[in-house]
This record gives sequence, structure tokens and C-alpha cells, in this order.
Amino acid sequence: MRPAKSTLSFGLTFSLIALLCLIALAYFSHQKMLQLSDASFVTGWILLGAMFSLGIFNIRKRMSALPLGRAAYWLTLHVVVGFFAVGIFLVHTNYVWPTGVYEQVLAALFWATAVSGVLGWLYQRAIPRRLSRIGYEVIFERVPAEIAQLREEAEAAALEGVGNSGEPTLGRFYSESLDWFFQRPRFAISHILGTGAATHWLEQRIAAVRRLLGSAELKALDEIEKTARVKISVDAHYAIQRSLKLWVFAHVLLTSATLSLSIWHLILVHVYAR
Amino acid sequence: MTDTTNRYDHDRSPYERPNLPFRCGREAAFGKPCPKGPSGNGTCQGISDCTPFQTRKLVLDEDTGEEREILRWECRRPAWAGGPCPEGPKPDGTCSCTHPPCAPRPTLRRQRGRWALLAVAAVFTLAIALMGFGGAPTLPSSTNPGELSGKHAQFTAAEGCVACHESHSTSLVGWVGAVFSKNTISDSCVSCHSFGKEPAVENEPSKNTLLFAAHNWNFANNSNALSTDCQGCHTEHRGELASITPLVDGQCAGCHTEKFDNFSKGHPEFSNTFPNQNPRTIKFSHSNHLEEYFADSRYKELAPKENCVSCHTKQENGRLLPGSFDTGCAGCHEQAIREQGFAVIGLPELSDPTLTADAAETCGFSQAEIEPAKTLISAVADSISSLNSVSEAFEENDSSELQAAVTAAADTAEALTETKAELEEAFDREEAVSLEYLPAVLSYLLKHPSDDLDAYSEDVASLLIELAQNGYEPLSELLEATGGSPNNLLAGLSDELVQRVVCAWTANQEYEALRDPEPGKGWQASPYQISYMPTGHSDSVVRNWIEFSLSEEVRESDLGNQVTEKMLHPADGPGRCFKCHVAPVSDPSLTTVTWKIPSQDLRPFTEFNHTPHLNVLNVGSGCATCHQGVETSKTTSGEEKNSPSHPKEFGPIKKSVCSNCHKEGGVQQTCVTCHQYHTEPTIRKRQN
Amino acid sequence: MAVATRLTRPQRWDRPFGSEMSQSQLSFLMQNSVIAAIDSEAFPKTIPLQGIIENDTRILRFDAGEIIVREGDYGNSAFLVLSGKVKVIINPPLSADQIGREKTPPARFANAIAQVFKRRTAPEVRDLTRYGQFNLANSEKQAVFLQDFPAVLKDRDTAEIGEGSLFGELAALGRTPRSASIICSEDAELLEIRWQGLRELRRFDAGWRRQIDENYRKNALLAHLQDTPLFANLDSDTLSTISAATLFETYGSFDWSSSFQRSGTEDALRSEPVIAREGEYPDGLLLVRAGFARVSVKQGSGERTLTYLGAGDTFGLHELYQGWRGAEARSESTLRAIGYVDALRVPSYILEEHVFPSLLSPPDSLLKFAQRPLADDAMQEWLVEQRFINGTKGMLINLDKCVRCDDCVRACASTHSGNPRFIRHGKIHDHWMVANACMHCADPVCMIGCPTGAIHRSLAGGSVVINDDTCIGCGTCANSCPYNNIRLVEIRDLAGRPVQDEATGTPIRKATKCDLCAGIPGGPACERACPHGALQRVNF
Repeated sequence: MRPAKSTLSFGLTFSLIALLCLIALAYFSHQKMLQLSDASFVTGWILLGAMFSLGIFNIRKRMSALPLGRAAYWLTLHVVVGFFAVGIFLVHTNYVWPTGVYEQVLAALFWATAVSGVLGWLYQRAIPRRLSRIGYEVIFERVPAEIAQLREEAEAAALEGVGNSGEPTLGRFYSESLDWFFQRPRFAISHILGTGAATHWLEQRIAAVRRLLGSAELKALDEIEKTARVKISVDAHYAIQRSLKLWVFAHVLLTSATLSLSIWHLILVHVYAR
Repeated sequence: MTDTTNRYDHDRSPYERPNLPFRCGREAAFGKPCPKGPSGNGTCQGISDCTPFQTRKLVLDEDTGEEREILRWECRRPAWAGGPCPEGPKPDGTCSCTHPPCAPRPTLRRQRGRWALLAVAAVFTLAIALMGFGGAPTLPSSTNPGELSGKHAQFTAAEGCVACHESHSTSLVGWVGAVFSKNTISDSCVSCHSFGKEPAVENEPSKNTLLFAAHNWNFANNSNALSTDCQGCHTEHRGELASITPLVDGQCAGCHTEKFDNFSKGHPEFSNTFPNQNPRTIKFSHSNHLEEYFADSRYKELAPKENCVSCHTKQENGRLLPGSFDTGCAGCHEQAIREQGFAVIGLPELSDPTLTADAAETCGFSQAEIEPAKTLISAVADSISSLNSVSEAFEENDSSELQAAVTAAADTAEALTETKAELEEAFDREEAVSLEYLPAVLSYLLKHPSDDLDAYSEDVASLLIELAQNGYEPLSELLEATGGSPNNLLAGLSDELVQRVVCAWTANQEYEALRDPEPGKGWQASPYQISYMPTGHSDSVVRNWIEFSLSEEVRESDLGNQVTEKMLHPADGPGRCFKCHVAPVSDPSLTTVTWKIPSQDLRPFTEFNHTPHLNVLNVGSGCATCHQGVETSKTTSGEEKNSPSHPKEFGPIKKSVCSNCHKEGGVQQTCVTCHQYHTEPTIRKRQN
Repeated sequence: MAVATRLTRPQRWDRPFGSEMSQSQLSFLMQNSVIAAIDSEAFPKTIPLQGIIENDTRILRFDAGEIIVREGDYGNSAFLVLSGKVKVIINPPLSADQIGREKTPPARFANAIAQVFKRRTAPEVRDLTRYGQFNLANSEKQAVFLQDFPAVLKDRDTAEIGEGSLFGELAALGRTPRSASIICSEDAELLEIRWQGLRELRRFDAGWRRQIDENYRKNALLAHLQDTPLFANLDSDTLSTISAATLFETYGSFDWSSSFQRSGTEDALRSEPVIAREGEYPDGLLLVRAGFARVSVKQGSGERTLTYLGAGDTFGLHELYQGWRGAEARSESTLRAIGYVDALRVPSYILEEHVFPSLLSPPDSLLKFAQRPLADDAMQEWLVEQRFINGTKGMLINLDKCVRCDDCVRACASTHSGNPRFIRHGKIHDHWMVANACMHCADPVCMIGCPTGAIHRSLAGGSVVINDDTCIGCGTCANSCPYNNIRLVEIRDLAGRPVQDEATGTPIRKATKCDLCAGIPGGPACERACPHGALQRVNF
């Protein structure tokens, strides 16, 4: 398939421009300092402008009906301006950690937002590969329905096994080990890290009970195992997709806190230090 | 759904609506969600699985031939929810698959939106709540950008922010207005700080931002100079221990047109008179002293033990000045000062030496004359009585009495002989001794040349008589007439002394001083003059006389100049002051002597502290590292050295001396190490 | 339980094609020679001939010089000349100016802004008052006249169609653009038959069937030949010769979608009819007129798909050329019909006589595709197997880039009053997903069964759209779509209450699908909204 129009060249060009602007601003700030003046107002407003333009990305996403440009370009801009904002922040604070509680809180929020942004960007580039390798695709909102369905199937298989053989082994096995498993998505951390704990856990349990089962029950056990493996795929999707959504949650939350505190800072600075 | 064949079928998979704000509560608990989903307001719509509908069917009844209508309720649960339920609706048309309502949950997206708004609200609430109204808060402040430096924190603690930030205390309107007006922090600074020279005008500090005795004061009219206020260099709110002047060299280069990288590389060379551009006040020849005098075995004990710093003890304005005379020089030089006095009143040769008659009334005879006369009288009385006793004895013919009377007569004769001798002695006084000339002072005061006998005799005679009669008052009057102040010039002089001496002179008799004039004892008389011996260094009478002699009036006349010359003579002047002090003879307009090394700050923007440098170098001998002598006692004569116009005996200090250590890789060499921006910063009294 | 709104369930002939036909008009038509010749008994009771005439046709009047159909337009109806004459412009075609091509309804920015602010919390809300007003006949028919038409016609090859003749059925039945412009030369009265009616007529009447098929072949042939680049620089006489010699062939079934749905994709290759076999002597050049054909070669024990051919592609040119040059001519690969193929076969002697001598460079062999590594075949193989090659705007999602954020779905919803028109799931190959969004197929089988014509090809450029006002929610299109890209939804009124049929209480449903964000500037919102560039609308 032909690849989508790449944003790479756009991103590189814009990064170059941003870098040049940053260097120019750092130089300008230094020169102002040498002339016993203060460039903080200029760099501060630029920083605020950069932060707001970063925040506008959220607005654009809500207004996809309007022809405002491809979101892929917006994201590239967002990342580049994000790095630029980090640079401007350093210039604005003169490369030192601030004194005073509220300014330290503001700086901490800013760094948290920026770091969360960078980490999230890298995460979003790396993790879809894992998702597509799982081999089973599930929409996030449908996970509970799928799990409910799988749970019913597993329970039915277990009951069938018990019914066919007359032995309560499978039933006991289900209530001891699998009931917990089928209640809700499990092994979230393992799925995110890709350590495979879920599969390992399942295989161990299945192997443990297999030798106790007769031929009538083995079919049911295979059925259960198949169902459980599908659930592991669903769990993996759920865990990873949820982590992505939680990341956005955190990032937006930090952004709104940072922006509000920046407005407060803007007010204070203009009242006291202009 | 292990069977994935029809997962995507259009009747099995309805649209996903991620834009809706709520999701089924059962789904949130990982149960099976209801097909309907919550309403937009978050209420559950899934109590029943479907809304049954009623079908009508017309059936032809075979038996009767009539058409019958059959009504049936049918389940219409969608295929993707499982299709029509097996039980079907209840007979009354309600769904039989009912569940208790769920509690719909907001989706993560909706929660995100709420939390974001909450975060904004929380931030602003906290910010306003922790603004810190009224003094120093104990809670963390949402307005304080950092602690004040230690110096400022203390006295502003009570007032709080408004001590410097006017806008802090005003109303909300004022707060908002402050956004649009420039801050007045510099004015707050100036309310306490002032900087020498012209203090900032009270109540209008803002007009004088350029008038601080900072650099700007010197170029207030320089339109090219950057406009500055306190905040350009001083930044507060950076913590208790932070420096409020975090300057870098580059900031100085903002105004200074000669730009260079750092001190060792590019700072202009020091001037060739640096640091010795002050005019000399004391003629001290270091080379003589160090090489000859201190080395001399006679003065070894008195010589300073630690070389330079024994004498140079006073640090002032960057100079390490010698201490006082008493501590440094008196050991050797005090005596010489005391030894050299000057005559105020002297007895010159007079054409008519006998003034006895005029002075006799006041002077009377001298005691010396009266005593022998009394003794003579008593001796004569005794002799009279003894002679009488002899005659009596002789008449009685008492041999013992006669012997006694003879003895008494012999004693009386002896006493008479003694008395005679005394009387002879008393009257055998010599004539007064006189000077051959009129002392310069008197010469000036009487306006007669000192060698013109005829001219001055009469005035001197009358003066002497007046002095004999009135004490030194006539002299005072004379002095006052020429602008001198007798209180200063004749301090310590007693009328008695004057009269005694002058009476002797008026009797043309030699005044016999009780003792010879001793050094250091002030007003003293010798047979021919009353002179003043300085009590010591910095004697006030001598100084007054010197200053008197330098006054304009005195110097106008030739005779006065003679007085001046005498006073200022290095060897003969009273106290020999000008052996060491520099006399302002070359400049007639100078009427005072600069006694002390002036405390002047010729380079107010530069600051040099000797102490740390001395501690680094060898104490005492390390001075020569920078102050290198350019002459020895051999190369320059004493005459030359004592000349006030003698060029400095220490060479200029070159920049390379400093940059040996103050360089890259060495000791700090920032501009502020040596230079300061403000001069004489002081604290004004606060107007409370 | 929410109170529901009641509405009468719409029926097929709720909306007649034209305005209510009067009885006199109807009887007039029934007496028309052509129509009268139809055996009305052959029609079922539910779809009587009279009903068809009454509801699926309308009478139109044209003045001389008026343009009836324009070449290139998508049309859904055929025309029967009742009186007057019309001329078909064959060669050269009219320019766009002369034709007076209607501009596409502009994508209005205002529409987009309106969508941004429309927020509905209930899904599938409709303004029910619209449903009563809309009437096809009320739509203003803009009469477009050909300027100075006699002069124009004079310089051109034209064909005249007189009373009693049928034209335009080509485009209506074949779901293809009009092949020629047709001008009214004398004041004419035409019966416009929409294709639903035409379909019934063709289905139930043998005579019409024969006629239509014959016309279809004759006209299709000529038009297609004219469009083929291979014959571009030949004069009309040669073309006529060629067309006379060309054979028209059809493989597979018109209705391939249902069989596809039934059988699935397993072993599809075996069931595909073979057009030309590898190793056999090629009878002539195959030109694909419509549909898709698979080109494959033997590879080991299986068949390896090299490529697929669509409308306009040729098969066998290389082999025939080599044969002309002297080598032995053998088919290098097998050609199979995927679904169905309309093909033209041009005999080799025609090519040798007229075409090969003037060929500048020898044509490439299709075997060049064989050089590709075997593993790289997989994607194409899968696309062909799933019949995704049909799609002109397939939604392809790169799962290695997609973070499953659903921004695309939300963007789609934002342009449709909060209702998304696709689902972000679908068949997956390796890390590519073809999502369940309408692909606006080259051969839209969904249109076949629509009783009202609500689902149609837009006049502009070929995207398939559903007219919500006329849709009766029968579900035929949804069932027809082989890719499950059409979904029926239960509508609600403006207050959010479900709308139910007055009579039975069943919910009123409407068919919905992706409409490529028509009316919104900028193109499909989904593509624009993906922040990682994972989603594309691809022409397979």
C-alpha cells in the first residue's frame, strides 16, 4: 500500500525553524540581561503563547468538521512546539529552578506536563505495534461485552464438562482459578510491559488440572483454554488501550493545571513586577 | 466471541458512539451491557431489553369464512443483542426480559473534562486563598516568588509585601490598574538607600532615578547611557542567602564602550601615576629610613620590627596609610620637635637701655633686692644692740659680758659682712643681655625692620614698658590688630612671666631665668627672650602660629613674609614641622597646611582591600611585590628627597602585577571584584 | 420506558417518481404501442405493470435544443421516446461548457460550522417534519439548452432516436456514467423510467430484456472502444470496423455479491470463472469493460495472483504482440472473473492490421509482477480475495500507527450531527485493517435492490449516497453490501424519543453509511482527524 503522506519532512523543517527561533530568543534574552534590562516579559509571553497553541490541539480535535488541516500535521506541530516551549521555559527561568512555593509548583507542573508529553509521544509510537501483534482486534468500549460473552462461554463449557463426566473437578477448577480470571480484565501491567504473565499463568493452571481430567472433560478443558486465550488477547488490548487513554487523561489534566497557574503567574507578574 | 465469522455483520455490530458521555453501568462492572445504553443525561434506558410491538394478522377462518384479526405481541430485540428473546413479551405487551436499572457511569473522556475543569477551579481557588493577606503567612504563599534576602527580610516582615510593592495593598481596582502602570519598586529602594553626593530628593524619589551617586550621576546628561533602575542589577526574592547582585562582567560592558573579555585579557592598562597620584603631604623618604636609619645600630631598638606594616596600619579608601605620629615616628622624632622653639618677645638692643624709671612703679625692686635690705636692717639692728651691749658691758666691767659682747660684735660684723656681700651681689647685677636684632615676630608686629635700631627702639621701649605694666595684653592687642587670635597664639602664656622678664629688662638687668628653657615645656623665658618650646608633636600653639603666619595679611608684607619664612623653615621653624610636613610656600594662595594625609577617595568606583593581599604575601616584606621602590638612598640626595615636588619614590603599579594572580585559572577577576557601581551607599533615616 | 413517537411506516411507492400521475396520463401511457406490447400478466400482483408505470415513470417534455442527458453524468433512469426526436452525439463529444455541467453542490463552510455546534445527546435524531415535504417532482429541473445546436450537431457524428425507442438504459442498469450526450432535436415528449421500474420490466418481460441487452451491447461497445487509449488515434471508420469485429462477453453474475456472501472467501479462486487460461492460445485482446478479473500463474501446487484488472485494462497484448513479431503466442497467465466481468474481445488480426504497426514501444508483460517475492503477495491476495479491490474509497487503517484513540469516529460523528457512519473494526491482514466504512465501490452492488432509489450515485463524482428522506429502511442495501458497510439505525425525533410505526409499533429504521462528508469542505473528516496518519481512504 502506498504510505500516507508523511509528516516527517514537515516536522523536520518546522523543527529547524523552531530551533533557530529558540536560539535567537536565547541570544536576545542574554543581550537584554547584559544591558541591565529584562527579557522575561517577552519570553514569558512567548511561552504562554506557545502553551496556548499547544492547548489548541485539543480544540482542533473537537472541530474535525472544519477544514483546519490534517490532525497529523497538528500533532507534528504540537510535538515541535512542545520542545520549543521547554526551551523557552529554560530561557525564561534563566536555567535555574525557581524560588517561592507557587513558582516551584508552576515549574513542577510544567515539567510534569512536558515530560508526560514526551513520554506519551514515544509510547504512542511504540505501542501500536504491540497491539497489532496481539492478533485479535477489539474496540475498547466493547471489551466488557466481549468479556461477558467469554465468561458465559467458559462457564457453559465448564458446566458441560461437569455434566458430561459427572465429576466436579472442572467446576471446582473454574471457581478456584478461572472465576477470578474471567471477572474482569487481568494482568494489566504485564500486558503493558509485554512480559506474558497472563499466558504463563493460564498454561500453568491448565497443565495443573489436565492430569486430573478424563476424556469427557478434556474437550471442555480445551474449550475453556481456547476461550481463556481469547480473553488474554482482549485483556491485552484493554490494558494497553486503557493505558493510552489514562495517559491522555493525565496529560490534559496537567495541562489545564499548568495553564491556569500560568495565568495566575501572568496576573501576579504584571501587578508586581512590570 | 470465539466465533468471529459474523462479528462485523451490520446487524450484529452497531455503531460505536465514543462521543456520548455516559456508558452503561453494567458495562462498567464488566457485565453484559444493555442494548439501549444510557440516555444523554445519564439515566438508564435499559430496564427492558426491547419494546414489544403488536402485529395484526388477518386470518381467514376456514370454518366460518370470516376474517379474524389476530393480535400478537412480538419481541424486537435487535440481532446484535441476541435477537428476539425466547420467552417473548408478556401478554399485556411488556417486555419479559427486565433488569434493574444500572447506574450509568461517565466515560473516561467525560471524567477527564470534569477533572480538567476541577483542576482549573482548584488552582484558582488555592491561588486566591493563599494570597497571603495581612502580614507574613505561615501557609505557603501563592504570591511570593521566593524569600527575600536576609537583609531585607527582617525589616519588611512586619509590613509584608507592601513595604516595597505599593500595589499589594490597594483595592482590587488598584491591583488591576497596577497591571497597566510601571512598577515603583525602585522608589521603594530609594526610600531607604541613598548614595552619597546628592541624596535623592525626599518625597520625589522617582524623579531622581539618575541622580543616585551611582555611575549615572556622573553622566546624567548623557543621552547614550542606558536608563537604569535598581532592578536592572538587583534581583530580590531569590532566597535568604542569595546575592541580590548577581552581576556578570558582560553587564558592565553594556555601557562601557571599551569592551574586553576579562581583566587579564583586555582591561586597559593602569595609569602611570597609579596608585600614587595624591600630592605629597609628608616628606618621608622610605629609602633613607629603610636603608640607613633603621639599619643604624643606634636606632635599632626604635626601628619598626615588621617593616612596612609596623607603620602602615590604617586602611582607608583603599590605601594603607601610616598610623599616627605617636605610634610610628615619635620614638625617633619627638625629641627634635620639642627642642626647637621660637621667640615671640625678645629684648633687642635699644638705644636707650634704661627704662627703669618708667617701669619702676610696676616692677618695683626685685625681691632679690628687698631681702638683703631687710637682712641688713636686722643685722644693723643687731649690731646696734650688740654694740650697745658692748658699751654696757664695758661700763660694768663685766669681762664675761664683755667677751660675750665682743663675740656678739664679731658675729654682727660677720653678719654685716655677709649682708654686705649679699647687697653687693644684689646690686652687682649685670646688665640685661639683648639680642642684636628684633625678633621677627615683633619686627612684624611693630612694623619695623629687625635691624633698624633707630626705627624700632622707641616702639620697643614703649612696648616693653606696657608689657611690664600690663602683662601680655599689649601683645594681644598687637596680634589682634593683625588678625591673629591671642587665645590661640598666646595660649599658656602667663602675665607673671612676661612681667618678670620684662621688668628685668626695663631695669636693664639681666633676667635670670629659674632654669634654662627646656624642650617641651611651652612658654619659657631666657635672659633675652620669651620663647615657646613645643610641647610635642602637633602642638596647637605652634600650629596656630604657623597658620597665622600663612594668613594673607601676614604674607602681604615683607616683614610678615619673614615671619612666615621663619615658621616654615624645616630646620629652624618651631617644632621643625616642615622637616617632614610639606610647607605650602610655592603657592601663595594656600593659607593652610595639610597636616594629615588627606582622606580622599580619588577613585570612588574602585575598591582595593589591602588586608587579604597582605595575608597572602609575606607580611611586612610582601608590600614590595606591588610597591616597588624606584630609588635608593644612594641615588637621590636627601635634599632632593625632601623637596615637596620630589617625584614619588615608588613606581606605578602595572596591571600585570595584579593579573599575575587575577586571571583565568587564578583568582577571581570579575569587574565587581575591584569596581563598585554605587559610591558611598548609605541608609537614610526612615521617616516614620 | 421512553414514550415513542408514532409515524406511518413508509412504503415503496409512497413517493412516486413524478408528481401524482393523473388517470388520463396513465391510460395514455398504457395505450402507447411499446407499453401495450408488454404482457401485463407476467407481472406479480404486488408489482403490477400499471403500478410500475404509475409510480416508477414520469412524463417529461423537452424543447428542441434542450440537453436530456450529459455524457459522464451518473444516471439512474432510462428514457422511452413517446413523441419527437432526439439526437445522440457520438463524435466528437460536447465540451463541458456546451453541456452546462452543473456544478457540484458546494462544500459549504457554513455546513461545517453548523456541524460543530450541533450537539445531540440522543443518537440518530431526525427532523420528522422534513419527511412529509420532500417530493422528487418538486425539485426544480433546470433546463439546459445547447447553444446554437443545429450548428453543433452539423459538425458531429450523431445518431437519431425516434418515437418508440429506448435510450439511457445502459447507464441505469450498468451503474456506469452516461456514455454520450443526448440532445432533443425536435420538441419531444419522453417517458423517464427509473431503473427500479426498468429492472422489473426487464425481469418480467422477455421482449424488453432482449432489446435492452442488445442495445446494451451495441452502444457499450462503441463507447468503450472510443475510450480505450489503444485505439485513441484511429479514425472513426477504423473504429467502426473494429467495433463490428469485436465480441462482447460477460463472465460471472451481475449479482455476484450474494454468492460471495454465501460462499465466503474460502477457495474463492476455484469458483471463479476462467476467461483465459495459462498456456492456451489467446483468441484476441481482452478489454475489461466493467468488473474485475484476476491474473494468476501457476506456482508450485497453487495459483499465484499477479495482479487484478479493472475497467479499462487489457489482457494478452504482450502475448499477441510477440506472436505478431514471430514468436509463438501463448497466454502467459490465467485470467479469471472476480465476481463478474464485462469484457470485449478484439480479434488478433484487427490488432495486427491497425494497431501493432503504429505502436511505439512493445507492451510490457504482466509477468513482471512475478518478480515480486512470494511473501509480498499476501496483501494483494487478501485484497482480491476479500473483494476489496472494488473499493474506490476504502478505509485502510495502519494498525502499527493507530493508537485506537477513536478520533476518526468522533470526527465522523461530528460531521453527522453526532452519529458516526462507520465502525473502527473490520477484516485485518498483517497490520492493515479495512474498516467497515463504505468504500464507494466501482461496482456498487448495494444499489441493486433499493426499491425507492434512496441509495444512488451522486451526480458529482461517483460517491454512493443514501437519501435519508426517501429511504424506507427495508435493509436491502445493508444485506447486499458484501462488506457490511451499511447499517440500519432506529431513528428518534428531535426530543430524543424513538420513532415507531403508527400501525405496528415497530421502530422506523433508516439506512446509513459513509457519505465521504459531502457538503463539508475538506473531504472525509476521518482521514483529516487521525493524529498519527494511520487512516487513509484508498482507491484499491
